[in-house]
Amino acid sequence: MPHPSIECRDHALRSVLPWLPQDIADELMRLPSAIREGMEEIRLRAERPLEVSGIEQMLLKKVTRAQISHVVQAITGSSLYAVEAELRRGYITLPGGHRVGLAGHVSQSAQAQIETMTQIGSCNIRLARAVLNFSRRLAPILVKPQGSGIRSALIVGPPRTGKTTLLRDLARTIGSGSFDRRLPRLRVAIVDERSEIAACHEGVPQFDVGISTDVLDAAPKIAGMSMMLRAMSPDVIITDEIGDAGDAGAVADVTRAGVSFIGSIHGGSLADVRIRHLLADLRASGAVERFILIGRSGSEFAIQNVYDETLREVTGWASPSSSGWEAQQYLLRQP
Amino acid sequence: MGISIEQWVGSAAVLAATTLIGQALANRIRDRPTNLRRLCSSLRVLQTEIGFRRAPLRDALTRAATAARGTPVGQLFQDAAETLTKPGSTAVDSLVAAVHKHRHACSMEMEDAQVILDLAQSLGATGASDQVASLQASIAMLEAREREALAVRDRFARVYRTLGILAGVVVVILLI
Repeated sequence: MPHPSIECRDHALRSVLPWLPQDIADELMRLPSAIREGMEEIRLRAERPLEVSGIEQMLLKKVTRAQISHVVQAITGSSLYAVEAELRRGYITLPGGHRVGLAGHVSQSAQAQIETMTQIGSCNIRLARAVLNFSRRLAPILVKPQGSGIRSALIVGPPRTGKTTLLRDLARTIGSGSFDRRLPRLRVAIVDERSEIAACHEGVPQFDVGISTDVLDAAPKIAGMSMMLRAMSPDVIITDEIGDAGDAGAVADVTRAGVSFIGSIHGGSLADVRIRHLLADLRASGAVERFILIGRSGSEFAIQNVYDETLREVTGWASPSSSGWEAQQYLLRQP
Repeated sequence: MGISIEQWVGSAAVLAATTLIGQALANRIRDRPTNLRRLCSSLRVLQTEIGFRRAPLRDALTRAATAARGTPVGQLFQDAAETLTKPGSTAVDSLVAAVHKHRHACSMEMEDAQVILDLAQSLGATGASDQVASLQASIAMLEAREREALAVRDRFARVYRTLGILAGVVVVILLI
């Protein structure tokens, strides 16, 4: 019997095929199933070979300019003019949460701001996957006594360790009432500056982020958190990649208003010089009660340590092993 | 020498056929300016939807279809919009297919259709200002063709109708 995650990765590939020219789609489907199943990215570059990467990196036949143009037309619904904001960000989200990064000629305004992108010559299709229920192993350390709420927490980890994936699953379980038996369903607000947590396409989250979850898509974090606080009266605000003192101030405002905050930050450890000042600010304001350090061991993601606001190690959370993380991977919504 | 009943029936059939052909050609000439005008109106709606509302093309095409609802031009835009809703479809494919399907019903000459086919090549593939410029150019070309179609209508619509009947009469006389 095939591994459940394997079946689903192949499904992720199939779900992006309609956006590709027929001959490229045919070529991808002719690849050995092991390559298809482990595929993470499909890169198309005009007049250069098609590149697929995942468990193995491969170069296939040359991609023409017309084929790139077809992909751009298809992913924008032949409405390049309507996705200029997305072009300024450099990527477009497809139904299913797949993300297409684009590179081409950038036009700038008189104020040196990026206006739009034309003559697109490269597309990088990242196949989306979601992880279910991994976040529930954090329940013992995040749920307050008697289930009276959620502790504010910051997930710390280097790039590609699953911070956003963990945030997404936290939103889903907390916003659906399945995070912990003691905890009722809470109202969750996601401020999704880079559209990575919920991957909204035309206003609809492409990942399951919970039934009581509202998403403010593509909003700047500081203004977005303030907007959600006023407009949606959430119990928990979730955002990705906080990075400077301004962000730390906004987090403090959130927690002062009695709302829990869960976010993430790039960093190798709590002693990382790049984030030390920010962590000190967050601890000083009492805005964050738990620091969750995550990493990657081999091909697996893992929670490494959890600390409280005094940086004392917290125990009591479920096994540090991430076995089950990979096994539970599957695509939530198929177009 | 009398005319047999078969000759009468044959003559009537020939006369009816040539009259209908003449009538069809006359109708096509008569309807062409109206359809070109509707086409221009729908393109103006498309221009507004794209230039000001930044509406996705499928929605813009649906609005353009609504502007010419109940007419072959409306059907052309509706078909293009429906094709575009399929994942992975492009404006070029959907509009080209719709033009080929509805060209005759829209009384369009091949040169009229070519304006839309050329527009399809760049529709939705550039920024809003370029799209508006491209639509304006197409509208200007269709307006010029409409003026020419009006002149043709005034000169030839009645001629074709009469010519159809006369051609039938001539054929009947020759056959009898």
